[in-house]
Amino acid sequence: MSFRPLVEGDCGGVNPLMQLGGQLTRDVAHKDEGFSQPQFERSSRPDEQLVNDFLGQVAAPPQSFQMDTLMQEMRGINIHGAPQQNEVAGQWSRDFMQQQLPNKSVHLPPQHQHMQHSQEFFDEPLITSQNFMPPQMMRQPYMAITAAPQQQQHDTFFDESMETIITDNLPKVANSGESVEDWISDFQRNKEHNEQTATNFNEKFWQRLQDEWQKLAEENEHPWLSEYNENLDAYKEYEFAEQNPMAELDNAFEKGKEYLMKGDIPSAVLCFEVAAKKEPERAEVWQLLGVSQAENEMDPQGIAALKRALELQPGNRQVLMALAVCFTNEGLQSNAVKMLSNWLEAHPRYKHLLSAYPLLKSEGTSLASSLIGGNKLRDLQQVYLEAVRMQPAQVDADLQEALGVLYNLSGEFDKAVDCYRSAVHVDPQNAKLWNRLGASLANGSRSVEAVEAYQQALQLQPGFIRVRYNVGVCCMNLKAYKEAAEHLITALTMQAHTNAARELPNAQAFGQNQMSESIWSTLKMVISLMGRSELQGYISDRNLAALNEAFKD
Amino acid sequence: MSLQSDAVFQKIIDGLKDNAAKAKAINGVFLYKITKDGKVAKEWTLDCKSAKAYEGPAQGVKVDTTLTVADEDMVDIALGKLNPQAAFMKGKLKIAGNIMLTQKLAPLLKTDAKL
Repeated sequence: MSFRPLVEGDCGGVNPLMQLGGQLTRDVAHKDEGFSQPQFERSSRPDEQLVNDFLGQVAAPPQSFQMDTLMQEMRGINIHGAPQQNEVAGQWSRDFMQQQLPNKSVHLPPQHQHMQHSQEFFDEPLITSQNFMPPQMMRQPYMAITAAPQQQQHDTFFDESMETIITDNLPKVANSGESVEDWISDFQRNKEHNEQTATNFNEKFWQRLQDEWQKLAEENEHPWLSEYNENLDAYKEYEFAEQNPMAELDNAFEKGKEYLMKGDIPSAVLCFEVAAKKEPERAEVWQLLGVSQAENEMDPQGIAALKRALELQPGNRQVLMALAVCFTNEGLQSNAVKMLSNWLEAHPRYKHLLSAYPLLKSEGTSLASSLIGGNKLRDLQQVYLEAVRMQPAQVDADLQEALGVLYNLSGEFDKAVDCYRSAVHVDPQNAKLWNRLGASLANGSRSVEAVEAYQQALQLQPGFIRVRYNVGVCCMNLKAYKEAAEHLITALTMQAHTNAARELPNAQAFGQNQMSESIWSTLKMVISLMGRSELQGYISDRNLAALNEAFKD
Repeated sequence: MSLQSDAVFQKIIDGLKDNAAKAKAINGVFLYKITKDGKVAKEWTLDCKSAKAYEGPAQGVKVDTTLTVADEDMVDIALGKLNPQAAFMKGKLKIAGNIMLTQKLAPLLKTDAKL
């Protein structure tokens, strides 16, 4: 009943719904009437044709959604590469490649800038960044590594090899947009190839670098190589005092130790020299001699003596530590690092920490290791920090000392100060530690605090020449030239007129060899800064007496 | 004319004589142009290859690096009050030539406190 409004026409005309119904039920083909005249059907009934057309259209789309044919087409694409699909793939891969290169060039600008920057430094251009488009990211670490040494010869070499690598690889990259499958396999092949070239490049690079260095070494003593050889050789021979008043002494070694207890270092040194001459195979004599000479502000001698001790007793940790300190003072960074890593190896509790860092242990290929010198230092600092963390509650003064030396090497003086403060806390009677604390403060430009630390050291050991020298340097930095000169002269006087010498009858002004060159040259500088050039003559004559007079007031 | 930096160079001369081996390890020839009031007042040559230093331009050797610095700044560098790198960044120290070599020169110049 409710259908009536739907099916009954409104105000006249037949309801459209009913009309549609009429359409459907109308026997279009007159099949019901059994009237079968095909020709008539096709041509004569226009509405029939229209219907057929309409039905045909509706039917056509479903044909292309037939899954079987679709699957077949897909298979066809995968195997042969149907033309229209190939186009798309090619386009896409080309787009991708183009996109990739800009990505790489994003990483280029920082390097580029770096190049520009350093280009300003050099007269000759380092690398012309225009032809430098690294297709692979792996090139960039090489940039960093070779930028570091900044040796001109090596840079031109680097240029050449880079260009060959670039020309080799660019065509490969460009051709890889043929088809999906080809592109994938090409890409993989490329990757392997490039990794191969990268590792080849790595080896080639280091090999050529090493060859260059060998060549240079033969030609004109390349600085880095000869630095190793010469500097170590320069400290080979210990120079004994010419006239040693202690020469007659019987147990010079014991006497020397007595002087050390009293804090009189120059006398102790003389005694130890005698002992060393008498018993050259006794490691501890050389050890004490070396350590005392270092405290006597005679590092070169100290190094020579300590090396002798090390030869006789390779695992001696105190000798290793002392050597590391001396090398640091002489500016021989890599030697110092080596000594400190050997120290760890010689320590039963900490040697296992080194196993994570094989580079630190490596003896050979010293050419390569000097290049990575900076990283070695940082690595060693990490190892020492791990050692410290092994026992956070208890402070190992030795560890702190070594760590302090490492921080001095890297210029992180504040950290060094922290290390030495904790060391001194544990061992407050150790004058050497107070000195190191003071030196770290001074090198970090905290001169006023440094003086306090030095005072502590001097209270414990009045004959600590090195501390007096450091005080002199401190005063000089604070522009207190008069005080500086006085301290330095005091130190020199202590060296020249040792108590030991005074005890003996023939105490002449023999002590030329006993006076530290570094103190003299610093004194010279102070005198010039003071402007008192008339005293320069005394300095070149090493006339201590006159200088003492001049500063007596 | 005597400059403050004369003292510094005297120390360098002595340092070179005493540490000839270290000097040769540096293996470079440096020319220092010390300026006073903006004008070059004096030149010093540090010939590390032969462990010599003298006033005036280089004689007979090719200069690897030329450094131009003011008198007061030179003294500050030697005293450790002015870091050479910082000076370079600020433009107080101008370097031409092989910069790497100047890094090696630093221990010779500066009077460090000894550990």
